Amino acid sequence: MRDNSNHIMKKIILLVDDDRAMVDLLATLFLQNGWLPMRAMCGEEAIAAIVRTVPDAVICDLNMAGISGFEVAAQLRKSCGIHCPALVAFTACCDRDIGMHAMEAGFNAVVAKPAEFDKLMSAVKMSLKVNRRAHQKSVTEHHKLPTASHA
Amino acid sequence: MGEERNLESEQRSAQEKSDLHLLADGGEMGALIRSHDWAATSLGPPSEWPLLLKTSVRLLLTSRHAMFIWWGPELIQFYNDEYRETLGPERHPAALGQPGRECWRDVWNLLGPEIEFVMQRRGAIWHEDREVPLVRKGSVQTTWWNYSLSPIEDETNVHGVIAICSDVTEEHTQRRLLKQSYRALLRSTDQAFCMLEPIRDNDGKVTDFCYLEVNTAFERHTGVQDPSGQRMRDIFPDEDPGWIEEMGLVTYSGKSWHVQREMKCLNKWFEYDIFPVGESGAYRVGMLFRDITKQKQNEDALQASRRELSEALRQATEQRALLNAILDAAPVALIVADENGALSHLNEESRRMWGRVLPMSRSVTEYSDWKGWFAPGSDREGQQLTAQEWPLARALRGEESLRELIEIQTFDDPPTRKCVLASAVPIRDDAGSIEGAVVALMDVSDQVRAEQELRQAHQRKDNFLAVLAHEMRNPLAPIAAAADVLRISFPEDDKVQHTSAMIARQVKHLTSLLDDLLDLSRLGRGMIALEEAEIDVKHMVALAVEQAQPLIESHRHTLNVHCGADQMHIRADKRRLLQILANLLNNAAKYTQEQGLIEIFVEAELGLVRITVRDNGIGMTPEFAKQAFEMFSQADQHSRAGQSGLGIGLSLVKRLAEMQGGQVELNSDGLGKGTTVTVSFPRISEATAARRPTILASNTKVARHLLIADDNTDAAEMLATLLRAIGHEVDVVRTAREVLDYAARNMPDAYLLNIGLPDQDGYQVARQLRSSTGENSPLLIAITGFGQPAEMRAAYEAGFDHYFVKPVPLEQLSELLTYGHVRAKRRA
Repeated sequence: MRDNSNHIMKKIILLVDDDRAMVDLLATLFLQNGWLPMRAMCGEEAIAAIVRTVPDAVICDLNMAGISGFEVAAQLRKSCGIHCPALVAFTACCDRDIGMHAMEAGFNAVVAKPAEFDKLMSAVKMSLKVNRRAHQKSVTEHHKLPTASHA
Repeated sequence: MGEERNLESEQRSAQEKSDLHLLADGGEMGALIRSHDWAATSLGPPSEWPLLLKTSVRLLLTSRHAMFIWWGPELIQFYNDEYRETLGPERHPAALGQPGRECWRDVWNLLGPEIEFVMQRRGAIWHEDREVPLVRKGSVQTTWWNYSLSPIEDETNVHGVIAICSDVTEEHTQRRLLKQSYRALLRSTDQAFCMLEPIRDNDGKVTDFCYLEVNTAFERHTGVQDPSGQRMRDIFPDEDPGWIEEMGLVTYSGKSWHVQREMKCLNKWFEYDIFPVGESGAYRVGMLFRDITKQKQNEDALQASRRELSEALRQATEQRALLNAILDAAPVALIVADENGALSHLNEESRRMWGRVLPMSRSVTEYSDWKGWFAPGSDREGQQLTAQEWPLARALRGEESLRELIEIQTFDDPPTRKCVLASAVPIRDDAGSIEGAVVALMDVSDQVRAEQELRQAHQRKDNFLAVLAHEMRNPLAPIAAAADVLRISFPEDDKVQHTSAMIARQVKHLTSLLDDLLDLSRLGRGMIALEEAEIDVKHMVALAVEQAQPLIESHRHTLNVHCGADQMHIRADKRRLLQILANLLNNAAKYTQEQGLIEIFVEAELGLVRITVRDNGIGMTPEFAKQAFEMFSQADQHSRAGQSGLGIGLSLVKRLAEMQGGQVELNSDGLGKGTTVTVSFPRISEATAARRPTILASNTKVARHLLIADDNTDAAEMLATLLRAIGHEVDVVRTAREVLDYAARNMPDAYLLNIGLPDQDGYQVARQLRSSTGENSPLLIAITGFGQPAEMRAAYEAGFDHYFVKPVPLEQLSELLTYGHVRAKRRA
């Protein structure tokens, strides 16, 4: 529903990082690429921001004081359900275990810091696509499954 | 008349009295002389005797010497008690007052001439040791006498002869016996004897000896026949003159001398007794000697053997002392035990190590007095050693060359703990049976502590590297973003574009350096988990070339790839192998001047796959080549001046390769002569490789159609999400029933089936899928919670193409799906 209604509107992206410079720079870049950036300096701010406006995508640092990126993702997946925005982790921790952990927590993609903006953008776009497809799938399965079981 | 007669008689009697007084005393002979009727003799009564006679008789009667007087022409005889002893009854008492010629008629021919001689006033006569045959006690006996015959005379005439005698028969007999026994002794003794007369020079010094007499043994001992009367120097001209002088000393000192001496001229050893004989000042020298050459030889032999023995003993003692010194100097505690385990020897270090007061255990069971624990690193770390577990006890049971790290507690006060390396061996006799054991203990506390500290330092370094790598990524992120902001904000400004590109490139470079550091730290902490799989090396080389292409092109190098025709599969972690190859290619590109030549050779050889990367770049000195694999060796700035890098690339390559069973070799002919690095891995045979589904390096961007069957919906959805994220089309079902339903209506490229489905196990599902789809079956992948070999075999037998243990390694799965050219699909 949201996809259909917002196709003219600018996409909203929530940028979460405890490094203000990072948030500001990403905001500049996304703005220049036609996105509407929202900012949060910590996990708490991010969750509070979502309550007001659900964005299309979230770029979230993992290692933050207070509520960590993992918790933010888990929280969003839980509270937004199938309307959850695309979640991209952007972190200096590049261990594979952490990557897997992030995926399990609900992120659609993990991008290692530092990264070129193009790479980050493509991760966001890919996550949006995956998210949308999962959404559609769950909608169709809703109609499909009973038929399958009756077949 | 009468008066006169009376007077006369009175006078006479008075005279007689005085005469009788004159003849007083004298014992038996005195009495006999007084009672003798002298008047009947020619001498008349004693009162009428001449004074000379009276005096002589008085002398005779009062002397204790045997005396005899012949008086007057008739040689009337007197004698005293002493003389009377010599006379037998055939003469005494008749001899008193008897004329001499009458009395001694039988021997007058012997006696008479001498008495006549004296009587004729021709002098006195002296006899010494004169043999006199005497009739005594009825038999003739031979007696020896010293006697003198002296005249009794006045101015005018000799009136008589007085004999003063002493009987020396006894002395004579003794002397004769002595002489006889001396002769007999000398004759019978085995020793040589000689009596020597010293011969002196003018100063009185003894210069030679004259042989007076020798015994028969003399010849036996010396081989010289009776030399009596000859001189020693003539008999033995080669004799040492010093010897004669030494013998001469005996004549001065008067002391006998016992000496053993070699008589060189005879080549014999003698034992001498040299003694003075005779009066002081006029000593002769007696010499008794015997040949002791044999004894001496025996003695010499004995002494020689004693010397040898003592020498051997001394050497043994010396060696023992040396051994003890070595043992005591050794910085190793050495303890020796006998076959029962009783401690028999401890060196100094043992006491230094364990403390001064040690229990000298008498058996293995007493080893429980000693406290020790298995040291860190042992399977039994921290457990206390029982008596039977001490290395000495184990060696006694026959364990050879055992080594154990033990933490001991000393007997000091207070006790301390030490870490010791113990090694023990049994001591065997010639037959090989154990007769004891020895243990050597070395205090390695310092080393162990140093090792621990080193390990900790190492760990801190690795931890630091990890933190460093993470923490430096954070500030790099805004820098990269800032470069992008610049690039996007000023699209028309070439200068800004150029600058932002440079910043982006440098951030990328820094990031890759941090990645290397992080990998190193992971290696150090053992945190690199390999996901080994069978890999086609040629394909990996192609991927690595693709990755290194931009750098190679930027340096305008020429790259040639030479691959053999054989299949070349190895078992390795794909990501890490790619890292190795990319690293080598990047190095080659970086350390070769513009427009260089880089070549890659991939060859199968002797069970190995060898990947060689060769450049004609700056090369390296032999010294550098030796340590090129050491971490941070690039820090030696002189070796590759002007080139960037931390010098950890090659170190990482080597360690990653070795982790996967590979080897790395590096060669350079020197600076400016290029570098060749060869990585080799064990090659996997085709048979092994063929067990896997065919993987071809073909169009890689193909999206697959997949079905996941798992009753754990969350896990299945998560996997599906991930697979969808990389472009695949994925459906999820929960039961075997649903799988088969789905299969009836769809043709997925691959099935990912959990072995433990709720209604039917995965093996059965796989068999049914295989039988329903026949030769054109899709890729069947088993997923299981356990990794038992039996399960894996069952999976392959049931028709599965591959087998994963949860959690499913996404990259391997992804690779399998991306590159796996499924037969069913190809057929379609």
